[in-house]
Amino acid sequence: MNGGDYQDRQLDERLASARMQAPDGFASRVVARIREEESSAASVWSLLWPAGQWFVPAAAGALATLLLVIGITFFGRHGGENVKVTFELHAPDAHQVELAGSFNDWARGRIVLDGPDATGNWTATVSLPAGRHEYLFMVDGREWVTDPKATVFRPDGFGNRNAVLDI
Amino acid sequence: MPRFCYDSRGGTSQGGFSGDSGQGERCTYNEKEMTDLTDAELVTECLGGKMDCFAELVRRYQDPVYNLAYRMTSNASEAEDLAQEAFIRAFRKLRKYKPEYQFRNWVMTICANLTKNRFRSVVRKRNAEEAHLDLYSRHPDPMDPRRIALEEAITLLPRSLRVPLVLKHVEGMSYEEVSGVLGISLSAAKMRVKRARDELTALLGQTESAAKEKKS
Repeated sequence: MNGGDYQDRQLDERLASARMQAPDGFASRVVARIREEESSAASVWSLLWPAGQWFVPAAAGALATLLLVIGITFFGRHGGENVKVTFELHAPDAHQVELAGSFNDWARGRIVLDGPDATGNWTATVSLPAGRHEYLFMVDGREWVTDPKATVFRPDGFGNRNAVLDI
Repeated sequence: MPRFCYDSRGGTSQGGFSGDSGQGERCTYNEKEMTDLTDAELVTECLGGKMDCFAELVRRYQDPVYNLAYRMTSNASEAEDLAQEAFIRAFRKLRKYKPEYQFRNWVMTICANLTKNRFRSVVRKRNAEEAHLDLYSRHPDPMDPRRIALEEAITLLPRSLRVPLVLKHVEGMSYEEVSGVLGISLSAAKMRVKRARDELTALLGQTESAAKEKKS
């Protein structure tokens, strides 16, 4: 063995022992933070919807609807920050195309595209807040497809790329 | 978002477990059964509402994820915060997880992206100050001078070389995995690891010969 090989092996051995360990109780703290987020979301819901008191949510819903109608009537798009975005995918052989992204926690089944039209295109129009969004199409419930028309991409951690949309 | 199965142990792994989620689900894994499950099986169970299965995933990969965050930030509390956030984001995106990929690599990619974003906004200024941080105060074993020398040399490497080196030689990842986690090309990953090794060898040579001179 020459000196270079020996030095390399020594370095490998030293590096192999250089891993920093997560502090004690790390996993418990992660789980606690997730629970905290979940329970605060749940308590907001229970405040809005107390057991047996239907008039509170009913009144709140009516008020929200009224405000929404007034907002749309008087302010239109200028009054809100949401932007309507039409997503399109050319997939003439597909039976179903869904859209999932950071804007809906990557939940599937909520946004299903209409199509295919005569040219094989599937489309869905979604109202999104301003900002950066990542998204993918799910074709026939089994294949994630990156939008070929997107201009910005980001690695998704699985060796593929998410399309990125800046509004 | 998956529903939870609340346990009474604060998410720690100490023996059997049986808790009621309040939603009619029962969690019935003990520690042995959970460690036998594959990552993909744990994810499936978690999506079905078993939070203790996600805690097991965190325990499995907390060290490599924390190590990555630490090597990127050179700051222990920032690293813990980022590593926690990476697992929380993974939990939120769990439906998107593909079993054919390693859960570890997926969370590490999330962590790398999170850390890069945080660097863009906050840490630029700190980079200049990084070399002046007290290496000894954040070292896990201040009694081992060889380890201190190694830590010092690793910290002196630029971040773009330090992180690929640690993923390859500390975490034992392949070059393909390094390139996937950091979002760089395969050739860039190989080149950076090679340069990092060369620079590290030179830095270790300098610090250790200086230490010898000081001793004699």
